[in-house]
Amino acid sequence: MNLFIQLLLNGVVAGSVYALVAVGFALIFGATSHFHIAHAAVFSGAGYLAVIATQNLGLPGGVAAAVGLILAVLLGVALVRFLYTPLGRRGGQGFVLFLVSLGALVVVDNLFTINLGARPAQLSLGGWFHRAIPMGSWSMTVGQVALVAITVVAFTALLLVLTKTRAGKLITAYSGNPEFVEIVGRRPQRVLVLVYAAGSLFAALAGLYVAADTGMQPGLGETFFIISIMAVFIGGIGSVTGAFIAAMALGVLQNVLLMRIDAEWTLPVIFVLFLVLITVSPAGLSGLKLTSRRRPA
Amino acid sequence: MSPYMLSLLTSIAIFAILSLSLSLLIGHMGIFSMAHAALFGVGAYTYAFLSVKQDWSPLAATAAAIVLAAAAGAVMAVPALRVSGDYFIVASFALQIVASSVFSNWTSVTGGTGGIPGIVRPVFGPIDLFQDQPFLVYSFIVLLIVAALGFWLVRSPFGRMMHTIRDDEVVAATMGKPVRGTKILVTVLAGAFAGLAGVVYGQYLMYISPGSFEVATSVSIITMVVVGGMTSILGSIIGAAIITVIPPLLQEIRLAESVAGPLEQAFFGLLLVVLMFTRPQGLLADKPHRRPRSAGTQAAAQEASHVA
Repeated sequence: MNLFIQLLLNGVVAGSVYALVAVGFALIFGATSHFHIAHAAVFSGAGYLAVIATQNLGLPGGVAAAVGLILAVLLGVALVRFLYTPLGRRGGQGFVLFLVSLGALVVVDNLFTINLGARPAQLSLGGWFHRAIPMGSWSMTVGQVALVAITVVAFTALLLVLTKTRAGKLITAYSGNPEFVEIVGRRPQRVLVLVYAAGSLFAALAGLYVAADTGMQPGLGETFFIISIMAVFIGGIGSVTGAFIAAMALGVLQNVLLMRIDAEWTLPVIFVLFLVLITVSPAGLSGLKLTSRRRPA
Repeated sequence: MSPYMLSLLTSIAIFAILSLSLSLLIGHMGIFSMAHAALFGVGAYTYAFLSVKQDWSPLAATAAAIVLAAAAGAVMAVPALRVSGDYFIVASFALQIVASSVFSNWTSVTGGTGGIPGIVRPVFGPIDLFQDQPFLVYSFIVLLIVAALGFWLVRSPFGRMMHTIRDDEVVAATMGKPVRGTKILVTVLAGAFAGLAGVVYGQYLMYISPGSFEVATSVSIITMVVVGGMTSILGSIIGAAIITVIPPLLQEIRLAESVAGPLEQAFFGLLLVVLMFTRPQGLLADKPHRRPRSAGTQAAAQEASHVA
């Protein structure tokens, strides 16, 4: 039982990382239908850039993390501003936009690998990050508690913004009907940038945590991305809440599975379960809202 | 011919088989798979395991490898029948990661991260494939056979049926075309070809390890297909040649190995980005992958067809 609860706690931590990436992607994918695979580059970029800021510029951990966060969000905005929108104007659609996104991911990821090498790039935020907080017979580190808290706060804030503010309503309007945004006198391009910036912010938070926890490595972005995207599909496309819940569930499942199977097999088992699920029910666990799927950027 | 040219041309032949088989899936069937390196690996590992650890003859091991890779292709068809588009990208990505974990962790069969050394090359009578020149000829003969089959397939009535299904599944089904059967058959064929490429690859290097069958390999094969032109058989061979030539060219500038690998990957990525802006249909295909309908409705119609 003790082990189970500890694994449950670890699962919530892993689930929080997935949830941040998944919620960001759900926001972007729900609004644009664009399979923005370079989301993985924003995730790893935040971690890598923060590490570069400490190593090459000598900034303290906290400042470097902020720098990484801002630069990663700018990376997400730059992708839509300089790649997706111009390509969309030239008539590029679904598949072409996906390939350009894949190309951008490969470029960004490998440029960081050239700079930092294939070793894990560790972001040191200070000793507090790995200090354990004992909780009876279980424990979590300060960093883990901070991650879960930030995830819950960020997600709640997003829900509030989406439902209560003008910007959030514009995003919702955009997902249903981009032309409508134009009709009411708003620039669709601005809404688009806002969507990508907000989505990137979530991925960047997750990337910073992973860099500070285990270090960022080549290929790590893709792995976290693909698990999170599964959560988006399981939760139902267009639903940030569905993505959040499914991501948490995946994180918990992945850790609880450790009671029965070896660590190197937990991910394959989850992937196989996902394949079975979408084969049986392509719409995921909740209903799929087709009406919110519109043309990409 | 210098050993350098020999190895370059042999690699081109092997990767041309791979990109050709993937172009059947992506270009002609409209199934975008990120798991091609997995099928490639199933072929390579089956051949290596049976010929090295079970002492099967090269021919029997090759046959088994093709059958198993074709079966793996059929497994891939299961999600492909249910979902398409973005869903299948994720599904195939998941399959690729499952395969990579199996290659790295099923130590008793795959040798784990150490891989399988000592793979034998076949001997045909007096022709000794342990020499690199005959092996080059052998790999090109395999490529020619696969290319001829592929060429014949896409020009045949079956090929036209594939294109109809790719362009509009609902129309094809209305016309009474066997949509499911066609998709399964094409994934099985693509799997068999990729498995055969894996066999030749294992024979050529005489050593395989999980690093050759990762997501990055899948992305490289996709780049070959996209660069050459997704619907062109000749294009996918030329795409394979271009992508295979780049790494040795980069080695000419004598970079450290830790830089050269990522740099060539970054170059492939850049190539994809530039190509999407300048020539999204690839170098050798002259018409777009999908006929544009009216610009606004097409994406919506495509999306709708994903779940239909």
